[in-house]
Amino acid sequence: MRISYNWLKEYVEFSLTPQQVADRLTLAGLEVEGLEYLGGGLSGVIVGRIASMRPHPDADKLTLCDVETGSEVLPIVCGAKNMKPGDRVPLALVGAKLPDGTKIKKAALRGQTSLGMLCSERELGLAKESNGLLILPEEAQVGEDIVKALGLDDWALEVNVTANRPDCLSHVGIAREVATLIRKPLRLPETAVKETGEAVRNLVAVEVEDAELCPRYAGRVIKGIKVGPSPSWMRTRLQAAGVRSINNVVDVTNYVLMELGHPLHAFDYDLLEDRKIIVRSAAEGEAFTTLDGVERRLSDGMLLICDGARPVALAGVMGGQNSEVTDGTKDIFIESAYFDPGSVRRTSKKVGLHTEASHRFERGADPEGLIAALDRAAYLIEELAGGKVATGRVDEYPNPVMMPVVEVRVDRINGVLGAELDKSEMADILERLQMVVTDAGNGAFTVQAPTFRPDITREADVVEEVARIYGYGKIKSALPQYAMTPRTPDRTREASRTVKEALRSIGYNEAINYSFINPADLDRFMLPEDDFRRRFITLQNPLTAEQSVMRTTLLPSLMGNLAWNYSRGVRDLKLFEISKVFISEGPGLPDEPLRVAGIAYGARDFGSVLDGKEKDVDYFDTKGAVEMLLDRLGVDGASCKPAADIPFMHPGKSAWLMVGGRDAGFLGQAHPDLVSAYDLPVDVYLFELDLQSLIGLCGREPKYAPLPKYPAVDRDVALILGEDVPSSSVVRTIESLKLDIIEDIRLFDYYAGRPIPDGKKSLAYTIDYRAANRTLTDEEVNAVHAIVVAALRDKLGAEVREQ
Amino acid sequence: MGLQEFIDDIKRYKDRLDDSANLDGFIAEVREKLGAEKLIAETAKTTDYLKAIEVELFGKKGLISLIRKGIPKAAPEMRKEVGRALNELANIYESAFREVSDRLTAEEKRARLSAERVDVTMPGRRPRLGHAHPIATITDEVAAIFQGMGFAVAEGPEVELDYYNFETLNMPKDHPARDMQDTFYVSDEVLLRTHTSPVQVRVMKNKKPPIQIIAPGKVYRCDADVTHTPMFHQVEGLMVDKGINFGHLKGVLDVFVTQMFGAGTATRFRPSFFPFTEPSAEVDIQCVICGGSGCRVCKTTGWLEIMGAGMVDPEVFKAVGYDPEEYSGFAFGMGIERIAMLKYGIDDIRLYYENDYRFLRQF
Repeated sequence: MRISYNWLKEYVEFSLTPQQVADRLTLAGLEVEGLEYLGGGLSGVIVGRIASMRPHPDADKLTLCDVETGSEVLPIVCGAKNMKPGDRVPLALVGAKLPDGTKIKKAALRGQTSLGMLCSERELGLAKESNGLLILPEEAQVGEDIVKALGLDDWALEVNVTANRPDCLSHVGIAREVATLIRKPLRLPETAVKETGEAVRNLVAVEVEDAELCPRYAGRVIKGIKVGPSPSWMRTRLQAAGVRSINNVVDVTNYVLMELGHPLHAFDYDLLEDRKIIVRSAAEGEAFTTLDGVERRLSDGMLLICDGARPVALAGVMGGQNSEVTDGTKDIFIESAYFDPGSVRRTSKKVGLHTEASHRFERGADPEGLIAALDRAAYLIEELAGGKVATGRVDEYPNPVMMPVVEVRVDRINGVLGAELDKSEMADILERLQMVVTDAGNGAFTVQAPTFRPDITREADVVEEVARIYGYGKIKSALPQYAMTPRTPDRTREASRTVKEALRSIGYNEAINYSFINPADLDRFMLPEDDFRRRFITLQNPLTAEQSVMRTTLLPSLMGNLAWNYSRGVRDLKLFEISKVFISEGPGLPDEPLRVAGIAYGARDFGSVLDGKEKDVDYFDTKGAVEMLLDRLGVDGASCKPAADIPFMHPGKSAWLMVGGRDAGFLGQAHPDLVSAYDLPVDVYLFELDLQSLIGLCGREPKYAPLPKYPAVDRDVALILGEDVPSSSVVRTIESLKLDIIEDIRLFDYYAGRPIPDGKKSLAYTIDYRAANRTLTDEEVNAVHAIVVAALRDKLGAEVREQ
Repeated sequence: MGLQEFIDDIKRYKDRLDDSANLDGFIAEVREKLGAEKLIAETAKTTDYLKAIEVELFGKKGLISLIRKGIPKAAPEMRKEVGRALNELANIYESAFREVSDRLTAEEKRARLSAERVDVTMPGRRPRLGHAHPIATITDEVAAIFQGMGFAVAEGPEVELDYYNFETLNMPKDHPARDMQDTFYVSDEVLLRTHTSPVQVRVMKNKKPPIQIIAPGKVYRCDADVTHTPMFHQVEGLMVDKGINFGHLKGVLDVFVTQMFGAGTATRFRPSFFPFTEPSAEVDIQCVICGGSGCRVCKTTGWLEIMGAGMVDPEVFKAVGYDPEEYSGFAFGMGIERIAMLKYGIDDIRLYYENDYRFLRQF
């Protein structure tokens, strides 16, 4: 809500500066988000009068004007066409400054001297667009500073009015708050209407069919008005409040809206069929064209204002084109009504129309204040547009709105606030807020709020009002006393932290991405129709198609991150993300398992000048990362199983991570087709694990084993094996022998290529032998080692290269 | 005099030794003329001759040994005296020799080490650690402060029921306050949570007071411009017990603000409106950029809004089955992106979700 500082002063007397008003309101819960001097950036512009004008001798589009400043006559060259001699116009003198930063200098335009510039509304910063010069009213004082003449010597306060305070959506409403805060009386505007016309009951009949949705409907008729421009004081006011002037009738309804906060609607009386107003619910599918020219399909439950034949307004939201006030209008009917807030909100949402009127009605208008607003409007129209106001008002009030009487306990207020106010202080605050306070004895009282405060219906509401006016700053800070309650550590959070630390320690950077993805991302991942990752949750109202479904895997976001970084020159990168994904489980809430995914390209460790070019990451870096992560989590017994069947992974360089007989995720190289779908010219390695289930498997505690007392003996064995024999089978074969003096088996060399024959590879292992109770002899070790060698030869077909 | 000459002198004395019957006088002459200790001290510049001197003086066929071999030939009454004089001579040579030898060895080592040099200003070879995302870091910091005051961390679903996100929080379907939170809907009843308050509701529905939790997590609002992203992070807190009041809310948040932004950071509570708290407050802190004197970040007010808070509305307690006459509580909520912006001086909210390495590496 935009509040004019000068306008505010009409209703309450104060000597606070605009900044002080802003501060007081902010600390009372009406946050002033902006404070702007309306004449800001404007200096050296005065009211000039065009004494005479003639065409420029050398330029068709320019006119030479002699402009009176009150003390002299200046030659001004002007490009506008809409002025005539005698007009008063804004004149920017040499040295003047305009809001856009322009400084006016003496100029010569096609050989003609110009000692200033005549201005349009746009040039004065009053409008975004304007045609021609701003022609000032006749009464403008020649020579007066334009800031004064246009009422720009004012401040606009941008007040953020919270949804519970519809009463503050007006100047009088804000003035009432100021008056309460500084203990000054509120001066209400003049509403004493001169009723000179015939009795209103002879002119219009109002019938409220739906008293639930329309508890009160009042109106007045004014006949014989003259629609025309509003006087400058009103235009100034509206301008300051951010409303464009249209004509005197529309301006009055807007003025009263900004002044008292109650939305009014003016109908062209002569266009109302049967001189009747019927307030009823719309029929499903009924059509109606609103003022903005849009035909709207209505549905059941929307409230309509109709005349004898047809709808003329969508109640509380917008009037109809069929009964609009135009320049030719002679007689008008002004509506001032109270509509059910929920109904206005539903209607406004459904038709997609949010108006000044609906904004107020859906928050709760004042069922009593609507009479003052109606009278104020009639008073002003009679004053500005002439005509005769019909005697009396129509006022159907079938469903009186009653404010509840709330019982309030002094102890409760102090208990909730942690304050020690006495009863009289509380009562004083509430009475200043125009509430009716009655002592109920026993440390309690009753409070009835005025009808413009629909937010005060419970004791808690009263507590807040007391605190608000008393001042939050005066309530003392204290730390609560609290009974200690032991709690178990949060394993999920702890495990997530462990994983994050582990991954960061090997160069993975933490990413956080939006939870939404583009469903087309799943096509880029070449996922088949029945893949579980296609069971996504779709948003009804996404911002863009790229953010329209909830992600079922973290990888599309991370691939996007790689593409983003690569295109910005980042050549080596490791990223990881820990987040929930969302798998649809039908109409209710989805499954939200926690995932961890990592992705990498480029150099293994980003290189160092001292060591030459570093090798790029490969499958084994990724596997190492995963193994390290599992180790840190304390998950045992994981293994990798070749995975040729993941559509977006390289069929020969990918694996399922198997833990406890189930897959807990996968790792390996991204499929080249996936990588090129993201325009990445590099190899990408990644993993995605089901962190949720890994957490369920972790929890291994360190187990102490006594340090060995006797030395170990090691023996190496080099094997030539078929290319396809997995290295894990060597270890498994040795372990299956169950030889208890074998302590450890380590792969220490891998080689393929000449002189190893094609289709073969060489693997070399060190085997540690140790007995817990004695020093092993060479003979003993040799005997056992021979068993191992024989087993490898027999079971794996290994050719053993003796050392 | 060079060392080679000194060695030659030693040799000369050795040659003369056979003729010398008067060992005593010979030793005295060697001691005087050969001036070993002085000579060695003055002339020896490198270790090159040390070995030769050692051999000529102390070796098996060195001067000392040769003299010693002559002792039995000396007159019996002189032998003792000769032996003593020889030992003295040997000691003098040895200590002189050791001194020179130690000095030269040390000098050579120093010279060698000072020639072995690295450019100490070249970059260190350090393990490339990954960086934590600033949002995660701030979330952990906020959580740690509240955990230090006894708050437990609670979590809940991000795709949530309208019932938990709005209805139990005193925001029925047609409530205008719903406009404050533009909502992504999945269906009429299912939505993306707009705040982490539904976590509080779920906790209260499952547990009797006392309650003392914080709920960090992702939240979603259908809004994207230079100051809004459609997903962001919140930490909300809730404390419910008998006798909890607004002063306690202020006390707990004062502790948070001073721990997060530094001792002496002033806090300001001003009235506001949230459907689920009453009284409600916005919490401002003294501008951390200008210290309260007014700048662009605080829009010259000297204050920065950092969170919403208030006493839990009795309607919320009724919805979760608590008796509002018996229990009271406070709740608060803050946006992590905003706190991170203030702490780190980040000026563009979109940076958080681009995951640009050049951004991430700064944290």
